[in-house]
Amino acid sequence: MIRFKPSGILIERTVLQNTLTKHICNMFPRLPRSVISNASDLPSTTLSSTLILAKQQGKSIVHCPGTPHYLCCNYYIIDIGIGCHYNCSYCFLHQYQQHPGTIVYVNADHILQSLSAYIKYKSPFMRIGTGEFTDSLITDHITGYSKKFIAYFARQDRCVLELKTKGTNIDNLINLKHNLQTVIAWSLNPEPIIRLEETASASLDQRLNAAQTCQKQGYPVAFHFDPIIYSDTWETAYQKAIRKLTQTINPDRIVWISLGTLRFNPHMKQIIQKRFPKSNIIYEEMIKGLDGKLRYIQPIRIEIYSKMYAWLKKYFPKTPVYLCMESPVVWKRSLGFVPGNHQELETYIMKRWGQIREEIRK
Amino acid sequence: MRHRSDWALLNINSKKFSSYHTIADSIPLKDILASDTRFRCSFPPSISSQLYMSIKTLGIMHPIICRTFPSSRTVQIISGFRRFNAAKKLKLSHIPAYVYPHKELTDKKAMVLIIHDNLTSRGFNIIEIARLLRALSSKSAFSEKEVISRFLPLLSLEPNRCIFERMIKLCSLKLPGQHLLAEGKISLQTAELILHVPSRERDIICTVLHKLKTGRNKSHDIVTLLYDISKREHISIQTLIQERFMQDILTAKNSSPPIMFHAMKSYLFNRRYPQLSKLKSEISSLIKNMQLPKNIRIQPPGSLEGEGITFELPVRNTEDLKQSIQILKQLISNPCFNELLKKT
Repeated sequence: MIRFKPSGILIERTVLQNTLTKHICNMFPRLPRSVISNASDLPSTTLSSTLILAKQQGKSIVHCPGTPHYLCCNYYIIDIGIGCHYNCSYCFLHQYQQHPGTIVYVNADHILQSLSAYIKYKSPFMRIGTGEFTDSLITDHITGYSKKFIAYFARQDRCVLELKTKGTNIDNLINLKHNLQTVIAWSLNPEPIIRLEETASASLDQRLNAAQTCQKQGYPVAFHFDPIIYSDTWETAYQKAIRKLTQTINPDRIVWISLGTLRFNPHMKQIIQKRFPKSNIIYEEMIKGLDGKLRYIQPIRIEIYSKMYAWLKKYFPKTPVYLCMESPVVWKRSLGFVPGNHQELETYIMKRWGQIREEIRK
Repeated sequence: MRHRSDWALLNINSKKFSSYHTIADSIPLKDILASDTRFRCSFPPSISSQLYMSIKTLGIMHPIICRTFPSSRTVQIISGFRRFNAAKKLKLSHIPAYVYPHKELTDKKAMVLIIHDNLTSRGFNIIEIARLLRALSSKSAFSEKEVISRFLPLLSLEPNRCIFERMIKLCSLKLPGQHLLAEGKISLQTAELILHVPSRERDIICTVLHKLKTGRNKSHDIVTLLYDISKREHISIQTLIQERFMQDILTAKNSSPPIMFHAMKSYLFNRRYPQLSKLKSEISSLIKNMQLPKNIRIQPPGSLEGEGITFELPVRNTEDLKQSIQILKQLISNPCFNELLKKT
C-alpha cells in the first residue's frame, strides 16, 4: 500500500486560522505551501499528491443519491474530503474530480455540529459513512479524524458510523472508546484484481490483517465485495478471497457484507481506456442499465450474486448479505427475496449489528 | 507592388486588428512562390467545387495575404492557398492580395494573421485547428500557456491544457484518418480511439470506414466494436479485419455500403456480446414458437434490463378485446411464454 504523503499544501484563505490547518502545516514544515482563494480554482502546478485544505461549504451530511430504478440502502454520507490516491481504475472520482490533489475539509467541528442538528429531527436510525468521495481513512494519519468521529458516534444511540477503506491506516483506531457505534469496513477483491485495478491500495492480506486488528479492538467490522469484477476466472478468484476472509476474521462479528458488480458511467470507459490501458475490465459484456450506467448483463449479475451469496452464507450464516444498487428482479432471482423498500433493506442490514450490541451489552 | 508598411498598427496584443483598413493590390500570379507552403493550414488542401464556382462567377472577393521575401521579387502566401489555386486553375493572371514586407510580418504575427483572416471568412475544421495549435506552439514560439489561454478561446475551445493536448494528438493521425475527421465522417472520440491502436493498424480501420461510407455514429459503432473485440480476444485489429468472414463482407460483389455496414455490425456485435446475442436469439425463438397472431407483439425489455415484458395488442372493439384476452389466458400455460418470463 502506498501511504499518502503530500508533496505540497494549498490552503484556502478561509481556513488559514483553522486549528487543524495549523496542525497539518506544523506536521510538514518543509513542504511548499501557498494560499488559494478557493479549492475549485487551483493553480496549474497542482499535483495529484498536493494536499488541499479547504472548508466544507455545502451540506455536511447528505442522503446517498443511490441510483434511479435500483434498490438503495438508505445510507447517509458525511463529506470529509474529495480525492483518493489509491487510483483504482474503475473509480468514479476519475470523472467526478475535475482537478488533481486531495481535498481535506478541515472544519470537522462544524461538520459534527451540523450532524447533531440533522440527527435530531431525522429518521429513527441512520447509517452514516465518510467513504463516498474519498477513502475514509486515507488521510487519517494527517487529520486524525477517526478519533474525533469515533468519539462523537460513541455518544450517539440513533446512528452508526461506517469507516470504509481499502487501506491499513488504522493506527488512530487503537484503544478508542467506540461503544460499537463505529463499523470499520473494507472493500475486498481477489489479490490478482487488487494488483491490476487497485494498484496503490493495500493487498488483500494487509486489509484482512487490519480488519483482524480492528476486530480485536472490539469494533464491528463489515466487508464490501464491490465492485465484483467478472472474468473467466472470477469464481476461483472470489472463492479464494472468501476463504481468506474466513481464515482471518471471526464470522460472528461481521455486521454486514455487501455485493455489487462493476458499474460506471459510460464516459468512464474512455477515461479507463486512456488512463489504464492495461485494464481489461471495460471489455466484458456490459449494457446500459436503467440508470444509464454500464453494468454486466442481467444473467451475469444474477449468476455472480447467487453464487457469492451461497458461498458467503455458508461461512457467515448470521451476517446479512445485501446487494448494492440492484434491481428487485436481480434481488429476487439471486438472493431469493426482495426488501419492500429502502427502510426494510436498512432494517435487514442492521439486524446483525443490533444482535451483537445486545449480546455484548448483556 | 505596394507593401502594407503600416504594420505597426497591427498590434497583435490589442484589438487594433478590427480598426485596420488597407486597399488590396492586384498582383500577378507568377510573382507568387506557390511551392512555399510553410503557412498552409487548409485541410484538405484541394479546392472545393463551391469555392471554384464562386470565384468563377464573382472573382476573388476576399484578398489573399502574402509576404515579401528579403531578397527576392517573389512573395509567399500567408493565407489564401485555396483561393490562389482556384485562381490558377481558372487561369487568372492577377489576384487581389495584401502584401506585407518580410521584416514587418514575423512568423509569429503571420500565424495570428492566418487565424483572424480565416475566422472572419470560413472558419476552421478540427484538423486545421489541431495543425494550427501545433504550429502556434512550435513554429511561431508562443508558449504553451499562451496558446491555451489566448488562442483556444479564439477557436471556440475551452482554454484548458487537456483540450490543447487532445487537439495536438490529432496531428499524429495519418492522412486518411485526418480526412475522415475533417470531413465529419468520424467524431473526435472515434479519432481518439483510432489513435489508441498501433500506428500500422490505423490506416486499415480508415480503409474499412471509407468502404462502408459511414457517418459519425456508425463509424463510432464499428471502430468501438473492432477495438473492444481486439482487447477481449487479444488479437490485432488487422488480424480481425483480415479474417475470412470480414473479408467476405468487404469484398462482396453488388453489395452496397449500407448492406456491408449492417452485415459487419451484426457480425461484430454478436462477437463482442456473445452471451447477450445468444440470449436475444433464444428470446426471439421463444416468441416465434408462441405462434401468436401477427398483430400481437411481445417486447422484451431493452438490453434485457428492467422489469417485465411488454405486450402490444391493437383493440378496435370489444370483440378484439375478448379475443386478445383469450390469447393472453392461453399464454399462461404456454411453456415458451413461461420460459420467456424466466429469461427476461
